[in-house]
Amino acid sequence: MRRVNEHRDDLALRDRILDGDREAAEALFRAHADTLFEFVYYRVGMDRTICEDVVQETLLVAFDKLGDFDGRSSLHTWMCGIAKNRIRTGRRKRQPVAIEDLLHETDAEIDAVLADVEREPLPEDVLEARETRELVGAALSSLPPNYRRALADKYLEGLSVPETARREGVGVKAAESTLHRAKQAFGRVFALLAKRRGEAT
Amino acid sequence: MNPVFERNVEELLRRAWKPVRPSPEFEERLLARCLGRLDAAIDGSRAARTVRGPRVAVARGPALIAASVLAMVGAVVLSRFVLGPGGDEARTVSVADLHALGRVAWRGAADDAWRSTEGEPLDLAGARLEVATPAQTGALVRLDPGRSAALEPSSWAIFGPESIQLTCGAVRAEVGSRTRVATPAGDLWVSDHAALAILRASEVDGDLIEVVPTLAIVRVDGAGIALGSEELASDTVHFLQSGRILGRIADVEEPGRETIAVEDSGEPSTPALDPGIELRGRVAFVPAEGAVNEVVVWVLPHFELPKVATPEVFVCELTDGAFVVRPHARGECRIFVEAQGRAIWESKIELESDTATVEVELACGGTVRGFVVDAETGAPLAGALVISERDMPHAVIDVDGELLDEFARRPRAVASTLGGGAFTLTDLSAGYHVLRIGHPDYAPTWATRIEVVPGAAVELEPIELGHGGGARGRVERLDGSGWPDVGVILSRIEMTRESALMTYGEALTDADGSFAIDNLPPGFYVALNLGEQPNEDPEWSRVVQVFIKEGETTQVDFLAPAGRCQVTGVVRDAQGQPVRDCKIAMAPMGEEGWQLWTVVPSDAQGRFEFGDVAPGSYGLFVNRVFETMTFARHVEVGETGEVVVDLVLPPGRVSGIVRGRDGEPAGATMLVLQKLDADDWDFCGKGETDVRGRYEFHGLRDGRYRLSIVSRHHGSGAFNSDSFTVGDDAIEQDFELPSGAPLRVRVTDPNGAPVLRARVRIYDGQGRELFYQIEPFTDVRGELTVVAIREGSWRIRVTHPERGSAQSDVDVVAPDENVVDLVLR
Repeated sequence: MRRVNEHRDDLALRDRILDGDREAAEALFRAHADTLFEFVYYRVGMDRTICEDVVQETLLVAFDKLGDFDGRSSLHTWMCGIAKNRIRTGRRKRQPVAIEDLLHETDAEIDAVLADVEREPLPEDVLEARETRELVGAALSSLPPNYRRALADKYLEGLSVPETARREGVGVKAAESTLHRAKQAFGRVFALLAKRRGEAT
Repeated sequence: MNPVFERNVEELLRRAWKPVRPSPEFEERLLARCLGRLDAAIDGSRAARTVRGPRVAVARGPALIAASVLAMVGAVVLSRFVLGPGGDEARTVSVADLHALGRVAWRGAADDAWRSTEGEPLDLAGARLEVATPAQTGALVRLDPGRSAALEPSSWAIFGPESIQLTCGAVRAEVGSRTRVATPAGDLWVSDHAALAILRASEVDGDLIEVVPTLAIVRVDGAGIALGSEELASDTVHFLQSGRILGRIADVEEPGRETIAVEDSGEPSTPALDPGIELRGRVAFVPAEGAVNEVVVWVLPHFELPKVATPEVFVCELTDGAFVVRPHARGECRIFVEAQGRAIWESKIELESDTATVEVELACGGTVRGFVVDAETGAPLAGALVISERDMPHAVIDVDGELLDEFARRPRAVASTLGGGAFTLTDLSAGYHVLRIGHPDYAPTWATRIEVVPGAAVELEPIELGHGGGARGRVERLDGSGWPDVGVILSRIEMTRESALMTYGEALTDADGSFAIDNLPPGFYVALNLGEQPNEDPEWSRVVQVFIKEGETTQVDFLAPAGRCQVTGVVRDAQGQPVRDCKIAMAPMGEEGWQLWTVVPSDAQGRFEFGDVAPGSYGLFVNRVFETMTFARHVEVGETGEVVVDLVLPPGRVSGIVRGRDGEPAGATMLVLQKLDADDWDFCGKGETDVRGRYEFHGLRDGRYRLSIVSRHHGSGAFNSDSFTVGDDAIEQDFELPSGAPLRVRVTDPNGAPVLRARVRIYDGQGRELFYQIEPFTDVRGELTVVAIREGSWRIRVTHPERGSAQSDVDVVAPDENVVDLVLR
């Protein structure tokens, strides 16, 4: 709060939207809807219906209250905050649970293997398992958008580092560095979730 | 990550990542709903929208509020605003009209001729407007109704429907580019629309604008102008003088050296700017061996409260042992000159005419080394800032030390601790120093009375940092709703005057009007909110004094009047004439004395008003003389309604001069006035000597008085004066400070554990209590230190509500510290 905020791009987008720029509004939607969906999905027990409801409420509130966004956090963080409130409100009707516990019931053996991800190579069958996919998705949904983007550029779209750098408008070294940090962050979160789930089962 | 883990991560991302996405139908439906919602919101609020941009609550600019509170309690409250360059679109505003107060130059397009305006409103038709203030106008430019910006001399402003930018000369990145600049110190990313320049602080009337960090480290080749990291400040000042944009930075794909062609259009692209005063300095290195050819000059103007200055800094090469700089400061200033391997030199100077000269002698300095550790765990702390306040060319610092980030250059009086918590301050000036040690995650603390000897090194005991206390609260508008984005400042009152730097904490209220400030060193603070205290004119309505305790959070609220009592009245002098522009303070009487002061000014008719006063017993104090307040009367406040209290100040007055043992005036000496009431001596005022050692107490009733006199002069000691009688006339009482030494009181329980918040009372040989500190309580270490107390016999008595009391006698002997240990149950 004391430091100069750093989310000027988000603020610029906000201002354009509030000036009535529909293209800017659509740009915001396209930039954030998918990541928000994923964020919510793993926090509502992977129930698509509930997820759609929460995402819809979140985005409508975000557009209603866009003038209140002041750039002290990123737009993504701000909207995730709105989403978490919505999820909490919904959960009052259910018991609040940790993200790892929201994942579907899992095979205890797979859990045990995943919990050891830092030390033992993962076998093929575990890599292909549904439980693993869910844990990967949950871990990725917890990462900041720029990390997720860096990983998506490489692992989903198959871009090289120079291609990623060009797309993001950064230098190659910066893109490399972001990718490296993103992988580390993903690894840490994944290992943490896997361990916790392994302990719970 | 180990290789196994790394490979697993790769495999997981390649093979097990199946993104979850919403269905296309859901997305399109939702997008349509969002756009529809947006249309409805825009239609409903299209007129005069105010967008909340990013804010900087306080600091970053020279403005100050609550002068008289400072006068009364010896503190400085800092409030500073800076109008940033916008970087990229710092905020979007509708520039309805431009009303320039004072002479400004303006033009609509970059290639238009400059036009001059003075006072008349301008209707903006174009999409772009540039404004500059030539000479010394310091114009106030109103951007649209209710908001304005003050432009200091030599500042620029570029206004448009999309953005507000303030730039001050120098190099500016192309609009629309994201620029990466390769520098000797490393790569520096500059976001879109950033202005690479040093900002001039500007004041915004009632509004808060983002500050963008602006330091740029750029090497401009081809034109003989180099802006290395050490040279930026001087070259920026040079740009301000010339008023020309010297270059542009184009988009850079890869790091490396960037050669920038300097554009020389031949015509100044701005109106002529104030050239500043020519300040010449002749520098002698004593000894001459090891002399260098470069010096850094800081010029810090002296501002009368409520303003606090920020320094101008110049890096100069010596020519024939001399430098020339062109500061824009005027009036009384302090000049600091630094050179590699030499202690900082400091002097006062008056900058009035076109030229000025100083004779500088740069001598060798001394070294102080130490460690900074966590008070609870003893773990070394990296990233702590250690500041020698004596050699610091500035007057204020925030609790986090972030203010230093805004300096064009870090003063050499500042060191940072590394991983082992170690720090070294080199080339400190000879004499006694106070070190201020801070860390972003801890409350600052001070190490005092460190004697620095040239050529020698002092090793300190480990310095422990704790978390201090905190403040939480809420700011409300008149209608009771939370007031978001309002700056709240807590400025620490330095009662002992050992610390020369003023320390403050700051926060912005959130959407609910709430705020929190942590890591505040314990002590007395003045709190104010900037929603009620506009920057320009300190006609504030509410300033609160609070005491922050170690390990506790104090509630500090600025709530809407709850329909409680008003206390109003008129203050008159003994002749019945209304007294204007004096400050009236009201404080409730608590168990531990007067607390939670609120201060208001009297108007031209001598009227004053306190709103929203809770029921209780209060004291009213009057401040007519800088840094002095005297008790006026008690007042009882009921549940509701208005209490009218007319104050007639008695004619009695006592004044005099306090001198040190060397006969020189002892400025900044604190005096606590007590009046004999029956058999008790009651607190009835506090004051401070000015630079001539002079003090004055006005509005005194007939009676017997005495003073507790607390000096910051080294070697002097606090003492009680003999009593004196005040009648209807003015009397003079001069004092000479006796020799003294530090006194440390340590209070423990029978097991040796420190006792926090034990009250320490000190009595002289005649049984008179010494008022040396408003909150005389032991700290978290169970200690209280009187910086300097008169040599001789004293009785120390400590009390604690749960631990009883104890006392001990001590004979204080100068010059070393005297320690008294007391044990409570």
